[in-house]
Amino acid sequence: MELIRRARDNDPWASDQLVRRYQKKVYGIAYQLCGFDPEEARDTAQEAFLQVFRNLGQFEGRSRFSTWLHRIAVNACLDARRRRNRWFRMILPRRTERHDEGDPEDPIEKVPAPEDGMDPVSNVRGAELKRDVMAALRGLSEHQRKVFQLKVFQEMSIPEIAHATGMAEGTVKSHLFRATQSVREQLSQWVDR
Amino acid sequence: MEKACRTQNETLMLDVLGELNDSRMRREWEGHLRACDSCRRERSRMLQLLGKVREVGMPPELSAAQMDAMAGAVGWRLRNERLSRPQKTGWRLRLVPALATACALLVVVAFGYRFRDRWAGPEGGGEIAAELQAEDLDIIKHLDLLKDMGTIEKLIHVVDIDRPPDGEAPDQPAPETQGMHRDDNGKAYA
Repeated sequence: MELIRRARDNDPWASDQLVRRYQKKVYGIAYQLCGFDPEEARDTAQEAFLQVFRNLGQFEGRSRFSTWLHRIAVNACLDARRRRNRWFRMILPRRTERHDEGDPEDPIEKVPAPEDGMDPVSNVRGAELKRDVMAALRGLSEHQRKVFQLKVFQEMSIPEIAHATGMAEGTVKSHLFRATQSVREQLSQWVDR
Repeated sequence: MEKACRTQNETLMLDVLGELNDSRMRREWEGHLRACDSCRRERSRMLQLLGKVREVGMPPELSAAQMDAMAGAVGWRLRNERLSRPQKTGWRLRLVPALATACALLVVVAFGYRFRDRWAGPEGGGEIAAELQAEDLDIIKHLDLLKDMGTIEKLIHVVDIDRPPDGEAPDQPAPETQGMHRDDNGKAYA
């Protein structure tokens, strides 16, 4: 709490300490909500931290700081994602289509060389799973994907998702069911094995 | 692929997503699961699948250099924002562009007023244009009459050629009426 108070009073050291303490968490949120792109996740995490510090004056201490920070970071990531989608739609419609289709490169091509003691088979299987999960998520509508990611990765409840996205709870539930069913069908080979 | 009972599909989804909060529904579902083998297996598959999706969503570890870079970038941007904030929120910053815009508008209006005569064209030019326009309109208005007058003029011309001027004998017929004769009524024939 002392750190938060000092950061609110524009103490650079306290701000730096807060970033270092929570950067893994915020980076994780950004990574999961930004299509598993590490570089984009780092940029979005920076934006999220700036939002956190801009809104630090509104933190009243009624909830835990990590809960409050999680909410701000999720909203900042959703905003960044919305802005990016809007930008691509406006300026580069063709690029957006490709962007929605995801990376055209096969992720298996990107599999790093296995380190000592690492099973190369599991390494390739991991890349295959990532490719299939990404394809399954790309098959969802924007709303379905957003709701599914907030539920599965951020473990938010339906009312929390409704609050964060501005949708009605019934709509969230409906998107969530459809998304889960679609992902289940797309990834059936991974659960039947 | 074995599927869960259709009627229990929604309950199964709520369960695996951690949203089965109603205690009565949960009790009934647990009772159903004990009796239904296919639902039990489908539940297990769904949990396994969601686990795999979460596994993919695990972010790669940030290196020490990346952590330093992120902290440094956030600190730098925060410092910049804090430095520029007083200017951005100061009333002077909003008042100065407003006053400048108002002055520029005033100058443009005054300039326009001062040189309005010059931009209206050469002196009297407007009147000449108006006169020309009236003349044109007059011609258009009397176009039919002018056509009729042209026809009458041609007719007079033809009649004048046939009739020799007073005191002159018609030695030779006019070129247009050569080889033609007139009857008693004065009509020409070949």
